[in-house]
Amino acid sequence: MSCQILNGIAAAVALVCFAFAADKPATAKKYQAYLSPMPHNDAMHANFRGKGNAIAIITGDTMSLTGTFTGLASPATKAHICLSMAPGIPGKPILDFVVSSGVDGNVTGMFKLDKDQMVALQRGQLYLQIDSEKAPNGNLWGWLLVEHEVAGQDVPQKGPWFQPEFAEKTK
Amino acid sequence: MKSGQAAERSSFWWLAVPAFGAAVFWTAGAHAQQALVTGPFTDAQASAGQTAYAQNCASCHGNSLGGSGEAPALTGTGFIGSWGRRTTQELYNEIRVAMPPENPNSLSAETYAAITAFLLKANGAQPGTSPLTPETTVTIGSVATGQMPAGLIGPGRGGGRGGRGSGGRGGNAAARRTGLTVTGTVNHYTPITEDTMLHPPEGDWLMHYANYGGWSNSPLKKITPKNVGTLQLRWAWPLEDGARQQITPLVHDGVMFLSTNMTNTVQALDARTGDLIWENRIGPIDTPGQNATRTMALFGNLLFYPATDAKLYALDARTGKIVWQNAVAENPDDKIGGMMIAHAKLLVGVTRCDERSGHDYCFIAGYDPNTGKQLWKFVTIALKGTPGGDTWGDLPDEKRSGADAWISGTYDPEMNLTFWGTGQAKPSRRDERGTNADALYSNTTLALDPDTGKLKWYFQNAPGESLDLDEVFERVVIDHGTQKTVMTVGKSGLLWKLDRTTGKFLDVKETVFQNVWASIDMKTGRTTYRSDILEQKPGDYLASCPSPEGGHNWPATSYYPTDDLLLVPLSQTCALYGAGGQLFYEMPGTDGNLGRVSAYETRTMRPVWTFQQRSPFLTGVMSTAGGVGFIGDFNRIFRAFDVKTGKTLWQTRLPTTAQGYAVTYSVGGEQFVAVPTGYNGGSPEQKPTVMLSGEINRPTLGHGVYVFALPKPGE
Repeated sequence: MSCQILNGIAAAVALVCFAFAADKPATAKKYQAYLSPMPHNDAMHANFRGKGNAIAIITGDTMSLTGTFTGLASPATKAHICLSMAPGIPGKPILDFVVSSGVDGNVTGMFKLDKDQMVALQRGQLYLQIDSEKAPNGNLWGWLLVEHEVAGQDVPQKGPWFQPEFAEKTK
Repeated sequence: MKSGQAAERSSFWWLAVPAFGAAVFWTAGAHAQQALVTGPFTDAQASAGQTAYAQNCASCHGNSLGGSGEAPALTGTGFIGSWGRRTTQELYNEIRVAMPPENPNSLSAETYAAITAFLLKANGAQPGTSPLTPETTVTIGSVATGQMPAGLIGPGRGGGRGGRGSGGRGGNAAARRTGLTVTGTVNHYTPITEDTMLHPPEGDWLMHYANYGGWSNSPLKKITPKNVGTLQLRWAWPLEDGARQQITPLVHDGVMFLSTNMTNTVQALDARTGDLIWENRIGPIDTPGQNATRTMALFGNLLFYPATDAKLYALDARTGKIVWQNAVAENPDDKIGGMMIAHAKLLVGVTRCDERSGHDYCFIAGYDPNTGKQLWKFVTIALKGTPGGDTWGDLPDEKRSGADAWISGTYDPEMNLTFWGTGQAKPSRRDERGTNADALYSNTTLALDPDTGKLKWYFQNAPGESLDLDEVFERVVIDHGTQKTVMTVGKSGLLWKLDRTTGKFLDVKETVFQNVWASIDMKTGRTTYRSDILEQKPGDYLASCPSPEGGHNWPATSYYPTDDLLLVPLSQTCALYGAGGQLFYEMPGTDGNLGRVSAYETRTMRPVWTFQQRSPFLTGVMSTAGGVGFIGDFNRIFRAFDVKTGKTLWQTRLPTTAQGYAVTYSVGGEQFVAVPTGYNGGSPEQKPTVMLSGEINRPTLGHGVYVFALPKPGE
């Protein structure tokens, strides 16, 4: 967390009460990420392709992460864990690890998280990012969110269903 | 396996960081202070580009390049803030790859280069002696200031065509004709009275949302979860392609009324057989500017049609003959948005009133349905010296814009109040707008007296909105015992419950993930933005979940009173929202599902069921007393589902996107279901195409209406 930007974000994070509407508490040991293309427009679309999944298991202060991806437009080059203000907001890399080179492949890593990083994980502020040759600033990303049920397409779920909630409700 | 702390790493962070945008703006501003070099284009090229712009771009971005709706401004500080550091080649490629939205890369390289040259000139670049080519790479901020030269844009209208689809531009002589082109008379047409509106016949779909309460729900029950699987196509009818298509078929006494805004044509068909009874090609054809005719209105023997040149027509519903016509707006580029009948008055909302320097203000107005005479007018911008006028800071009146009334209202006859929503203030971003203030009555729920236009109460759902997240959509009137509520969902996905006697905030629910509102005061309903949105500067890319596609948009909710369920069509995309463009991505936690339908029990706000899918939904939800709901999507699928569980019961594939408002009606004891198809659907259709490009491919033709029914006995 060496960037000035993140200092500002960290201050903002302190103001954000991030809770999950899921049944499971934020202390769950397993987190999951769905990897999808990073922000792009039509002109960038050809280089921002692919998808994937990742699972992070927390044991004590150690996170063990494994994931797979497929369908990139160019071979993967790097992978990072990034810290952001909240889901859906670009952040900054804080950890990196091994990614197989190819348009399909896997990512693995084991990290010790410090106290702030653990809190950030529980608040949904960490995401996995994979860079590629044609998208060197990020091709795929996915927020590590507490393990939750994912229904298949068109399969109805009964409420309440998983949905991160960002806004602090004040009275 | 390798692990460890990362050192400084390149990432995507630069796009989201306000400091970056500020740097861009500073740089652009610095350029403005410096002597500019001559632009890399010729004057003749820019002139050709101006013509091409009028033909291909002005319909969305505006004649004056000021932007409108989801089309960003192409001149000014916002544009130069986003593009000042980028090159002419990047701009050329952006236009070529993405424009026109419905048919990208369809123009010649010369035309794209000419349009790029025109945009440079429109931002203050001086023409030189060498033409711009696709290979030209010049930093835009080194030649352009964002300041448009005086006199570049004439006072006339845009001249651009309204439609962007590739087909159906009325190329044949018959299609260009205007007037009453098919004559006929509806037999046995019952005049519609106020009592008819209060208690619509079961077999009719008399108004946009079926009833005054905005329920999009029918009492018909012949189609049930048990038999809906046998639905079959009974008839279909094509509509002219080109312009936006989001219509609601209206049905009365077995007659279906349709419209197509490409040619401003209104038709009456036998709703049982699909036979055309009469047709009035009112014109004009191919009007400039974005316009979606979502509904017409019926009252007495009249059918009211909002033409794309902001003229209001009353046709004899029995013959199609024009009874009266009335220019609703003074500015010819304004459009008619919402339209409805309430307490025997014709209420009209005006949109696209974006001429900031022209005292061109959006409004809602009441008209005498028999004569077209305007009875009252409620301007949705609070001007100086009027109540709420101090909510725009020091911004002069001529700079106050937006609060478009582009969606029809609803009505409570007992209270004699009509409920309307408004869109955001314009320009959408606070930094471009020039004020951080609340800006009444933008993104507000309005309760008006339909006889006088007097404001009974208001509740501003999104004060000082800044991300093109409208709160304009249907206000659904629902009672819970003695508690009278009005409910609505906006683009940020918040489901609001208000007391409709006072406008008091009662409750709110996040229906999709949102990260723009950092806090909501649960006592007052006051929303507060994330800090970086509050501190935005020109050129910043701001992360917005949902994106301007909207968590909810014009595809309307449906209220199923049997189980007190509000059925909400939702979208799940996010965007980095910049002054000059938007970058899209999937919403976290959705696993790539861009479309969602969710059911909420309105008394408790309890989520009951949901289903999601890759394809976004592009029709409103329609529900029936038979317990069946209907909805159509981007991927051409029209489906029926069990209202109680969300389970899909039946589906069919249509020629193109199911788009508009599905309705149901009965004729001769048979229940029918009709769904429009179409292409230009505005932001809920255009935004996700970035992510679905190459994955879901649709034809650029296919506006029409498809009508289904159960098999006839013996079939």
